Amino acid sequence: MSTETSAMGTLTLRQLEKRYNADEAPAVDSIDLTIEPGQFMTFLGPSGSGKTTTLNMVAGFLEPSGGSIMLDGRDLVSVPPHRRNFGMVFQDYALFPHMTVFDNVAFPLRQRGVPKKEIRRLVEDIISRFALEPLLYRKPDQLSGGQQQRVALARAVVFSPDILLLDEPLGALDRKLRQALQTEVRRLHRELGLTFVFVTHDQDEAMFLSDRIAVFNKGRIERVGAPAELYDDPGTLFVAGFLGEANVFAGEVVDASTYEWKGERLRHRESALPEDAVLIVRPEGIRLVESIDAVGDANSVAATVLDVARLGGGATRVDLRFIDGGVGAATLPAMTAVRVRPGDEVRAVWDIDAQAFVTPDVTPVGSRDADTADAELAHAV
Amino acid sequence: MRTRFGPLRLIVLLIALFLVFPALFLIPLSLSSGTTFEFPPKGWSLRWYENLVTDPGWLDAIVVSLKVALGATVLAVIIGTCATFALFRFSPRVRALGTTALISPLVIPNILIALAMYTTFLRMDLAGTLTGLILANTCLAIPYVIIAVSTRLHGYKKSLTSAALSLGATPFATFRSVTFPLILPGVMAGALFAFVVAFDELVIALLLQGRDTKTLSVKMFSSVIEVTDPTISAASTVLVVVVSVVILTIQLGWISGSRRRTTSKGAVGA
Repeated sequence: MSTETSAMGTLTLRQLEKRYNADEAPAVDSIDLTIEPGQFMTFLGPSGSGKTTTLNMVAGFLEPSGGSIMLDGRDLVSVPPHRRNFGMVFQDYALFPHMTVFDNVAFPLRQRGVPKKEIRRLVEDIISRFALEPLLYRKPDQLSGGQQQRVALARAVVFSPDILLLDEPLGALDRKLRQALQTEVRRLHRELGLTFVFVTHDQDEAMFLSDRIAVFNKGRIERVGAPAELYDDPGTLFVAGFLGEANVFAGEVVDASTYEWKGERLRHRESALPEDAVLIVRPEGIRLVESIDAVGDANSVAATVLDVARLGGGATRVDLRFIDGGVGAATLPAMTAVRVRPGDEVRAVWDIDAQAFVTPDVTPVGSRDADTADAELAHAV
Repeated sequence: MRTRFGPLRLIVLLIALFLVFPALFLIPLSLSSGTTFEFPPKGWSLRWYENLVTDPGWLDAIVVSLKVALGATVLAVIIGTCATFALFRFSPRVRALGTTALISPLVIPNILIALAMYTTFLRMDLAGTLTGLILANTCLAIPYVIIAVSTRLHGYKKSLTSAALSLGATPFATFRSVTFPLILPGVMAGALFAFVVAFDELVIALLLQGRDTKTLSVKMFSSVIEVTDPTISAASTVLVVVVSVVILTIQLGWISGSRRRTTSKGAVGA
């Protein structure tokens, strides 16, 4: 395996589209995306949002209805999957049950006619990287889930693919194991310098792993950006809600420095806000005070404490109800004295820097249904 | 546990006894030294086995039966396996319809199939030929292959095919090194059933028989009607033993195969 960073691997999607039926909304709708060499790109979205369909088109298992997929300027659409030279890791691991770990990892090398001695060297090299040596001659059914996924990762990178595609690879693992493997995937990406395209519906996983995240919604990419960028400035209400939590205040822009929500006058510094802009504040941005006198020059709204709970890491989460009946939350950092109790009337306070404006969703977020997700899966296999 | 499943065990035992009961008479009868079916036999001898392998009529019948069964097995396995793969590419509804059509020989009375084939084969000059017998038995054996292979394909994860393709295997290499090895037990089971079905089929073989194409079952049938001597018991015993040995061998092979998988092998050679 080559450990030096390769300059190859720019993946470009242009107007990519997948339609199963002419009279239905497309599963993937005119996607434009460029993935730079060595980048860790995550497709994040709810089930049925088109992220897996897009990945399957990149892998070559699904034929696009329109648009192009290019690798370093070369069109891939007519290239069959076995000639694309992409590694792929599946949620169900997809290890060959009749082969040992060695034979599984050697499989892609044998298909490429690599000499026997070279195969042994490459397999042993990658196996030791994943600390799988003691399991070399076991069959997959004698391995734990975490071990199986390590073997699958080893098998998908042993032949130095141009790109590694990962389809919810950690979805079947329990929390602790998932965190351990996330760390390994991150390390693997750093060491190989390979372009990774990772599909997940887990926002924490996406935040932890990615260089860039493409948020999918109803067959389209809603936003693309670095994790912190998307978190702090989500752009749309959907992204704000899908990537972390948000306290949402849908009011009106009064003028260049004032926003009004339910009679509360809130200050802002945005120029040229669209009329329907919605103000959001992340739970970490909110602190609680007892009366309006303690607010100072920050923004604040009235809220009722619903629940107070201690989080791992020492922080405290306070669930709130606002005057419009909407619910939200404040995450108070560790070491703060928390004096509120359920039922208390408080002011939720935040600095102007902690707020962001997003565009509302055209249709309600809750309108995606399980049928679309099932259809996507059924077509994907 | 023991008390709870006691009655169930008894029932299973009784059913098993009922099924093997005829063999308990058959084997002693074939070893009789007398010329009539007498139970228990007065003396013991292997003369009927000797007769079976020295009498050209019996020997030829065994050879014909083996040829028919082997030919039909090979054809049924190829056609049945391909058909099953094709069926799995369709939607579940089409698949169900296609499966029903292909396994219909199981429910259509053999005599109807035999008559239809007889009249057709007469016109095609296939009646009384080995080819005709092989084709007819292939038709009967295909359903068993389809059922056995479908069972196996149902448990086959399609992601394995995707994985093999993504790792650089051509579609053919994917079939040869991943899909086929994994459905092989189903194919083997199907082949076994196909062989047994074709080996002892009687109705079609009776109608399609020619001077040189009398199967073992036909020979046994006519020997029951014409001459009654215990050679037929010897023939039946051979049939039962051959079929049982084949089935047991394969089943024991599978058991030891799956045992081997659960013990880890040392890191030597390979």
